[in-house]
Amino acid sequence: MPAVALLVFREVLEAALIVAVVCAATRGVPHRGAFVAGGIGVGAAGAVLVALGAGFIADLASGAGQNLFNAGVLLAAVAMIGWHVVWMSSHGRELTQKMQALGGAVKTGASSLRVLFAVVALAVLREGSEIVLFLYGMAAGGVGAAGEAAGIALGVGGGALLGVALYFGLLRIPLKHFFGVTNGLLMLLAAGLAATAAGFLVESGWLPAWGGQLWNTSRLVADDSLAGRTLGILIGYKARPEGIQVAFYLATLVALVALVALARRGLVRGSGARGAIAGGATVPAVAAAAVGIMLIAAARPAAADDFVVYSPYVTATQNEIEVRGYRVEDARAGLRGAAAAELSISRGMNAWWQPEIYLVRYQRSAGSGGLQGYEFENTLQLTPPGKYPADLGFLASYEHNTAARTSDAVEFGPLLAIKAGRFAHTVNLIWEKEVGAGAGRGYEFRYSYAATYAISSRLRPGVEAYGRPADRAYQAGPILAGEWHLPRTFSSLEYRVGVVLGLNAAAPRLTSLARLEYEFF
Amino acid sequence: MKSFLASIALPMFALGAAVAAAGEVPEYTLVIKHHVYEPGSLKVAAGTRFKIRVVNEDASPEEFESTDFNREAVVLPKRSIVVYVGPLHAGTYRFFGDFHRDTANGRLIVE
Repeated sequence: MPAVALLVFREVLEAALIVAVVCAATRGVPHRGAFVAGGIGVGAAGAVLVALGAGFIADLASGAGQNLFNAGVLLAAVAMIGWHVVWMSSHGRELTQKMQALGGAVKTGASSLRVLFAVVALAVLREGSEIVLFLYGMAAGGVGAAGEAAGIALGVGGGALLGVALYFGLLRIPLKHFFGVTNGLLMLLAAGLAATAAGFLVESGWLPAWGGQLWNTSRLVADDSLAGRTLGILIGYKARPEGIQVAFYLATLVALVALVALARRGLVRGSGARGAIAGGATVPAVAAAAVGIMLIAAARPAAADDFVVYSPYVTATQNEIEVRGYRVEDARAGLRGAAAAELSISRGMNAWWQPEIYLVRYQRSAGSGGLQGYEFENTLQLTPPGKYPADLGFLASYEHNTAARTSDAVEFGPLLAIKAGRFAHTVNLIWEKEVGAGAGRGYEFRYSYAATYAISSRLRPGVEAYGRPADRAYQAGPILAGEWHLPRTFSSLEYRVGVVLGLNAAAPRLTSLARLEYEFF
Repeated sequence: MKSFLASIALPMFALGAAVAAAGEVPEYTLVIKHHVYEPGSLKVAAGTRFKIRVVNEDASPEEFESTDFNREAVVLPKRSIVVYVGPLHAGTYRFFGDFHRDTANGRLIVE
């Protein structure tokens, strides 16, 4: 009986947590109960059918059927949740207002209910089919019916209880923030499901693992602990994620955040069938595109770049003191212990030219480190901010390297920035060429991209990506940036911290970066 | 839903073809008999991708699962499945049969 209870509990818990979050997120929609019950019923019936047809499914796609089926179910749930999140962001405010005015149920579109129904059914179907197969085996093995029934009851009860607890816990969130929180939770949940789907595709050999397991936090929270399972569903926690899972997670999250922002500005509407399909399809499409673009496998460990995304903007008469650095976490020779730090000062000479002098450039690699020399960098702002869809700047710099066996270098290239509402995108395309005695031939190209979303000026979460085709190194990861105006002064502090992960085998596994700027007039 | 399916299926097929073209990966075999894995420990090379064929000789289904290397797949009675694993760092990774956790336990030794 304990074995039955434990397995049933684990599977029910996962479905119950998903149902709880979706239920909370559709708070205030009438007839919700009927749709949840219907979803559970259809899901359970589907689970039995899937278990009965397990042999047939397993044989599909030359043996990959089971994995493709699992990944398909998960990605369908991701699309549904994506649709709902987009729909909520164009209707959530009005829903909150009506709920506050009427103190309860409001009449809203039926699209939300269909999503609720589908997500509940998919969650129950996936977890349920495993329970059915397990119980079938148990019955075949001759476990007593009474013991089995007690185990099922215990497992279902325990799992459902935790789901109910989560639901009521969520309801305690003040109404003002309620849909913001549940929407955020749904996005993380969807990103986690996408990462799990990626895992199934790797398992069947349909996707590469991208460097295998990137990190291991199982000593902190193990995947098979209760906390691990709960976090695994709610925020997509995985103790040992593979590179491609991290990529799917981030791609889904970025796509959802972008769609929500567009929906808020009325460019995408979650209501109506066409909008829903467009919204639902964009998420996996973007994820797949991101995967396709970044599909590069290489073996040679690669050197690092500056890990900074330059802004094309110049502010006349503004002075700046900047400290920045990065640190690589990778045990491979040539990457082990690599780190760098730089100190620079700059001033906006006029509205379009900002020279910057790097006084200290420290670099360490493979155990030995030292000062590298100086750099004179110029940012030119070529277009007035906001005049064109994209703001254009140009970077031109000269590096004087004093360390042994190094030559001087020039660096140049366009800097692009696009601002859309609270989103800011910055793209740098940089060419580097060594000059002087002993200089290498040819231009080395690298690019970088940053996207941030301004919750407030102090808090701008986002992502940064770096590509160095010459090194065959591609990295991306989350960052947090912000600006803090010092009260009663004309000065401010700007910060930027983040972690970028290697997307292919040759890239450094993990690079942490930080930048602090003091700006004053 | 059609555009959604197409948006998923096309890149997947392309990727699948690309992976298939990448060459043969080494295969190891695990046999489940009387709810026990045979062999109980499997030695594989670190830093390479490989596949494990899990053969279920029992009359009841089993789920080949590992939280250490993140895999789960149901193996029906008298059937086999193939699971791609790795590349893994050197170390010991446990796997188990989710339907018979008390008996079906094994280790992957990666060197």
